[in-house]
Amino acid sequence: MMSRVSRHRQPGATLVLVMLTLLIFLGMTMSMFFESRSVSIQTSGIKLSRMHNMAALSAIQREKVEIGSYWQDDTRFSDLLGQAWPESADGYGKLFASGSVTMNAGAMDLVYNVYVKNNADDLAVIMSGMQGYGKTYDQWVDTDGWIIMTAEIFNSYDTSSPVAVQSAIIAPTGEETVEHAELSVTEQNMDRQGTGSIDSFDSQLDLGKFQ
Amino acid sequence: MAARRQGFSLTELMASLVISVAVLGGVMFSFQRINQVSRDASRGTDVTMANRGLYIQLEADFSNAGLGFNDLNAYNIRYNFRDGFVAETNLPRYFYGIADHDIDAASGHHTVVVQYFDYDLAGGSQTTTPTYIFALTDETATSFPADGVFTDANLIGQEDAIGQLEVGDILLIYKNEVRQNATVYKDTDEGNQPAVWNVFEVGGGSEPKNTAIILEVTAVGGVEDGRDPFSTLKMVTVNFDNPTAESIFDNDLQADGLLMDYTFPSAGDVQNNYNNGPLANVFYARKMGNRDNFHRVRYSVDTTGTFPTLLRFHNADGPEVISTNITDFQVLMGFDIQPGIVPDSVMRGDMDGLVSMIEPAIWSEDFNDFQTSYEDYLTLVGRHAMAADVTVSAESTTMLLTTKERAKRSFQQRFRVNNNLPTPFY
Repeated sequence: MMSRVSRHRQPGATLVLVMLTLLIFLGMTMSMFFESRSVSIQTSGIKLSRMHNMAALSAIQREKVEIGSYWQDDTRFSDLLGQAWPESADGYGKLFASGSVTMNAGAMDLVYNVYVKNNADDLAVIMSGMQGYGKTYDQWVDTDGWIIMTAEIFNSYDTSSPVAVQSAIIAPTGEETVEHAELSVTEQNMDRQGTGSIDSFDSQLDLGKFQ
Repeated sequence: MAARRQGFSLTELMASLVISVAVLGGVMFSFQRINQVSRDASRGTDVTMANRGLYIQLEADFSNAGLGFNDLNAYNIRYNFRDGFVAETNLPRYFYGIADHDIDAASGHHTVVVQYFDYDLAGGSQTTTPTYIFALTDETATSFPADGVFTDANLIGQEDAIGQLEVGDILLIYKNEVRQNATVYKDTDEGNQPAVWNVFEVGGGSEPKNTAIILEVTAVGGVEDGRDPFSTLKMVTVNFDNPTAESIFDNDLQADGLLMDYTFPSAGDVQNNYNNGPLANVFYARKMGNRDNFHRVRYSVDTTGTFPTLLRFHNADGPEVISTNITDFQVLMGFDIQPGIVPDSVMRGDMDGLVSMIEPAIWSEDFNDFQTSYEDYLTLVGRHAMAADVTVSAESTTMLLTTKERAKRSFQQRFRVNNNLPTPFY
């Protein structure tokens, strides 16, 4: 049998070349896809976390205005803290209000619990058990006019574990010091007149209670 | 007989080889080009990502600034770091969330220092940061030592709270009077009244007082019953003058300690507390956390290496590299007061009340913008800086393959500083 260059045309070689080329292109495409996807996931994770925290601060803002009716000039927030509301298992205080909040243009349904608790440096907390004019001090007696509000945020489909928890010190002036980023609070009406904007916040010493 | 099949001629083979080489060459060139563009793009992305990391860090740090003590920011808090904790040539007088803001004259890059504690505001199941009643160990004492410096003290509180005290805890000791003094908190309409810090009763006037101090517990004694009128509570003696190698805060306040009158409440005061509001004459010691809960963060650009590198220094740890080949790092602080005022003479009317991240009273580069001394400026930053405007520009450390230039990225973002004006207690 004589040797020859080729008895038939060999289309397989072309196929291999084409397949190889496709494979390389596919590999490059996929690697770019996965890289951009991982960046995108990272970004959206941060955004989601921010939204949850914003929701928590918004819940505090929303419920804060409701505590005004419990204020009394002589006993401060003692009436509020003394209510027989259920207590948080995590020690955030008594359940003041629950509600729902929608974020991300309706795509995210969240529910919240807002708790009230005395601040740790209230003398009534330190002096728990002691007597003061027929009143026994305990952690639910307010002697300084400051309390802590804590909001737990849950996804509406899973209320077993919170996705964000934020706390704020609330004083009768309406001023508050928020434990974490205040940026989101400024989205709500920080000037408490319904005219707040995202870039401003009111730092006046506002001595009118619960305006 | 079957016709003899022709193979490819040499000419055909040569021609096809030439065509293949040309086609393959084209393909290879395209690949190389695509590869270069892709690698250039990832170089640019790297610069972007490094800077994005910076902004995430900055947002967290600025939003935490002053955490643990900024609800008490009417106080002039005195402190002193132990030698070797951080290299510091010019110790600012008071303790604030923003502790330094300066510009390096040679490189033009900024330095900013932010500090905060992991203060547990809500407390969770059991607070890890309780507050105690503070007393001098000498029961007959009616005043602090002449320089306001003491080496030990009694802390009084609930048994479980006392049980949480240990060596390394950092205490903020303050008198309740400052935050409820009626003459201090007047309506802001009275613009010609001194701002809270500058009211004489709480430390202002010609001689500012230290109305609070930060000390670190260096020894804890045994638990005993509280002294009258707190006999139902527990008491412990703590020391501040036996530092260990890890200690952060020194009790040597350079003859400049707590400069308030020492008082201790009587049984009558305690009984009156509920009806008459918080006690003015009680000193508190707030546990702000332990050594691990204190964060002093400094951002600065190191220009000594091959490339200017933005570093984040945390406490006395080794620096964290944020971004390399920085061409510009600019931090402007937004104030609620106009320049030209020294801290001790700020009036209520000087504070514009509404602080905007877009239009504060001034975006300040450094103390020269305020026409004050550097030390005065640090006090102003601590009290009045409400926002930060950060611009960072960086280039890749290698040349791009396509354009033979460096990838350049520049970002600007504004942050709210977690700073609050003093609020009275009722």
